[in-house]
Amino acid sequence: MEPLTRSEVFGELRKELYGDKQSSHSSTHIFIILGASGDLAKKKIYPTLWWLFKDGLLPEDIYIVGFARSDLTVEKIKAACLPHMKVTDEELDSLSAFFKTNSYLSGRYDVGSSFERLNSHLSFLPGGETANRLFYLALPPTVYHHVSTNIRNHCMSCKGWNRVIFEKPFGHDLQSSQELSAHLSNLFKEDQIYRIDHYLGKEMVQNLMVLRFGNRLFGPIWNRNSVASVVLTFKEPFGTQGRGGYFDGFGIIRDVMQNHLLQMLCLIAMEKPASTSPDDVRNEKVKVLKCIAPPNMEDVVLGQYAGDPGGEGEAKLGYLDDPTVPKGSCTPTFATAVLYVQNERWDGVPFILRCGKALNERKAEVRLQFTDVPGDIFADRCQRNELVVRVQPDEAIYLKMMTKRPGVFFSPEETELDLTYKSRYKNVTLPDAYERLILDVFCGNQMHFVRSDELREAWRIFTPLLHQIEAAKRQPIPYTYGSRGPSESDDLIQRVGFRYEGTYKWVQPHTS
Amino acid sequence: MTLPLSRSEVFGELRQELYDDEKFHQSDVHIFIIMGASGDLAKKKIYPTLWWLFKDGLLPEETYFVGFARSDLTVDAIRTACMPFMKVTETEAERLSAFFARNTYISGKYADDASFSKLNAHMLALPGGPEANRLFYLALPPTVYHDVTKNIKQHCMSTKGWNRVIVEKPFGHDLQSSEELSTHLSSLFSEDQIYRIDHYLGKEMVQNLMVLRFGNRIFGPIWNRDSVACVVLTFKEPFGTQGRGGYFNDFGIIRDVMQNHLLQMLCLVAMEKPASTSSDDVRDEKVKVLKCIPPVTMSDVVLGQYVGNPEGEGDAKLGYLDDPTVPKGSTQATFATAVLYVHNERWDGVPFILRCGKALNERKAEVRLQFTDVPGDIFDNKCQRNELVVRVQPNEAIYAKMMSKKPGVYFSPEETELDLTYKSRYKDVKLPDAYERLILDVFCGSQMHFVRSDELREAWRIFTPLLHQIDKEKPKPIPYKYGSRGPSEADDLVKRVGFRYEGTYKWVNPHKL
Repeated sequence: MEPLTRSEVFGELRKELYGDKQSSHSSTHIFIILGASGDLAKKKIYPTLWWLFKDGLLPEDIYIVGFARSDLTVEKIKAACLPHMKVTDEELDSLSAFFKTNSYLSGRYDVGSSFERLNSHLSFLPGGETANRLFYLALPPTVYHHVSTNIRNHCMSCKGWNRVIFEKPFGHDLQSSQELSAHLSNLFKEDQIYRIDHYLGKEMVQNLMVLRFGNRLFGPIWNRNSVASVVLTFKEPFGTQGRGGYFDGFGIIRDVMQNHLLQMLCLIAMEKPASTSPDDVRNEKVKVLKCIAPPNMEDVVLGQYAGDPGGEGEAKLGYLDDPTVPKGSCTPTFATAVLYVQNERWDGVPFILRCGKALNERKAEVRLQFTDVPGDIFADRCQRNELVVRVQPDEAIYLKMMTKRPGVFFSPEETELDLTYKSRYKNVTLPDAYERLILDVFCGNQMHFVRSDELREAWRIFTPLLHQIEAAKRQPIPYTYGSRGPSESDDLIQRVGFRYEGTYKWVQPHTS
Repeated sequence: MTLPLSRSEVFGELRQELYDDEKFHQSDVHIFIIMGASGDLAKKKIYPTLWWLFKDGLLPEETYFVGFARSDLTVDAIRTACMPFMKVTETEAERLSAFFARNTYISGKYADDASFSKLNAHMLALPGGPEANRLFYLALPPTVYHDVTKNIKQHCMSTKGWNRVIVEKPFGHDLQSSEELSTHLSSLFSEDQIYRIDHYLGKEMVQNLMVLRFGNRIFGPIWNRDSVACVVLTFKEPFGTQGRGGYFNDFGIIRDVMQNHLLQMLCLVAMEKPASTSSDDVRDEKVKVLKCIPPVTMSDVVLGQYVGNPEGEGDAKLGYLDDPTVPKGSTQATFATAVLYVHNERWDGVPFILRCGKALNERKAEVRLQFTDVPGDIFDNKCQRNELVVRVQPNEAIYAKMMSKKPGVYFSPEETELDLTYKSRYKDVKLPDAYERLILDVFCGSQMHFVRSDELREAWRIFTPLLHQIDKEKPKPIPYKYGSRGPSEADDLVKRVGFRYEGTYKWVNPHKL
């Protein structure tokens, strides 16, 4: 793998993503960050734009406009963002050029005149009249209504295109989400709305489609005849660390399971789309969701982490020790849920979604466990095959399989076929999820964004469970900070058919 | 799991796994008789292998080694001749003495009854000799097979212990001669006493084929004509006959490699799952595959003969016909590609491509399954075919060539592989030599990795018409340059029957990146 030069990357990218015809690259683009003073803007959006800019991946005539209530300047934004931008000494010139494209406007989110002012600012930028506009709503949901209405009424480009990027939360249940979607669809067309689920921007999540549909090997075994269960895992090794106040309003199911894990499930379970066009892909994802019934409470285990008295620092603190968490909160910080996709391909195969905070490791992965070998001739010494796609950390694909025990033996032993990105692709830096996604918005590619009907189906699946949990104020099972989570979760997983032998440990083959 | 085991652990595990406690008694006396003890095979392979097994404690404790040949030799002379091949370290000197202390040598004539009576008396006189089990290794040219086997049968069979006879190729040179030999052997020994060696069956990755296929659910549903486009079995050597072409010239590459080694690998790739891992269940399935293969036709074969490369160095300058031991104008093939079809429900229409040759561009033996194209492709035909490769030698490995998203901001498929390279994964595991495994199997009475009479017959049935046609018509083999890929006609044939070579991918050792 030879690393490409910047212009080569750019050339390839344009060929692949921009499509030769709609190369709108020469026209002016304005990227408007609403909520420019906030944490998300400072830590994620400005840095991401900078990385894209310095790598030459943004259109040449780009202007970035910040908008927020605070009385700020570009200089102050620069100062606030710099710690997150990883600027090297050689990039200082480029950095100046980047901030030259920036401007800032303060205004109020619920006041029409503020947005009129924003609009005239946009129009006065060089080429501003005809520029394409990208609005990024880095805002709390409380102001979504006002801001989106004001954008629609005052800030739409009439000559270029307009695209609006939203961050979660997209409501907190089916009803609230439907209200928000109805509101947005009054203002914008579906092809103007870009709902971010940043998991869809991850290398290995994006790879799922290529792996599945680019390899004949997997075609015949990717179904209920050969797959015993699918496990989708998200684990974090830390707790809320004093920011539990926000989290407590949502809980782990809304925060991780209903969006990130369910999106990965869709990519694993969906039929092959008619093409790789965004709507063909999203049609298939919606179809999967439509075949999933809401989970029953007996297929769910909820947990909440408690401090580990033997731990150090943060590990001593339980969720309820976070001063921002309401006393006696029953919000789960851990959840395992089993879903079933009731269609011809997957009927009866458990899809196990596991996620939690303050666990024993950081890991996000997709694991397909295959069925036992029928008619085994090796005296039951074969473990089940597993295909694992590790999303983070250390991107990898590996296939747990049986091989002859090396040497004078003839018995099967576990091993794996391995593709660890770090070892194979030494010089390739994998772009951050936000980089890919923002680039996709420029390109007008909605494949990796959540469509309204997808969102609706996702909420349909989890809303009954969420309402039941909240109505009953179910007490989550306590688990120790740094543990595997409640053992009840392992029991559930085992009950529905996942087999954990514990006989195998993944070995990093390149360091052993 | 991959920790190196101590000697006694290995031995314990081995016994558990291989030696059936009922049948095998560690304390029993065994006598290993090497017929042809003065020859090259004995010196370079058999004595050294016995030594390695002995020093690793893998042989039964009471084992005696008896050499037999025409020459007037001594154990010391044999020791001197074998030493360069035995890889003895200084710490093993004592063990080596113990090994040779268990060696004796008898000289005699292969056709002479009295010589074998003498041999028998010698064995009976060894401690525990009357009850000992006897293993006869025929490291002999085929010309004396008849006499020696007859004499063993008449004079040297143990009456109290068991007797096993190990036979090396050539097992005849066509169907008729092979049948004659088999008939002769079966008039003397029962099938479970006969161990025909095909040393490819002793190789780690060849033995692994069964575990890979039948121990992994993922391969079950794709191991058939619906998913496999073709199977390529390859054996390549980077050197020519190097002055030993005289022997080779009588056989040619088809008899030397294709009809035995490659066909055995084909059987293991193509066979149905056996009822059990017992030797005869496995061999039943292999025979069944062979029975479904019609004889190869000349139109599905490309033959080649290497010529010197004027730009090459040393041996590479010399063609096959430059070997002084090769008859002038020989049309013997040093390279062959043949396409076989297994006419059964699983494989109908799938080409099995057998390729082998000397003086080629690399040393390699591998099994390669190329899978069909993805049906209903959605990636603009940018997907290459998946391949599963089992590399037998050198550098044992299993890898699956597959498509993955091109890393980075792209969404297009790119070739990559899932890899299991033994050297990297099993750092401290020493893979035993094929002969070590096979001789051990004879001690254990496991015939799985040996060629049964009916297997041999079927193998000859498949190739004999072709061989007779070649012998009769003497078609001129296509010349190819020493160190090349072989004749381009072979690539054309392979392509014509359906193998797709894109040449877009090169295997990368991920550990050297």
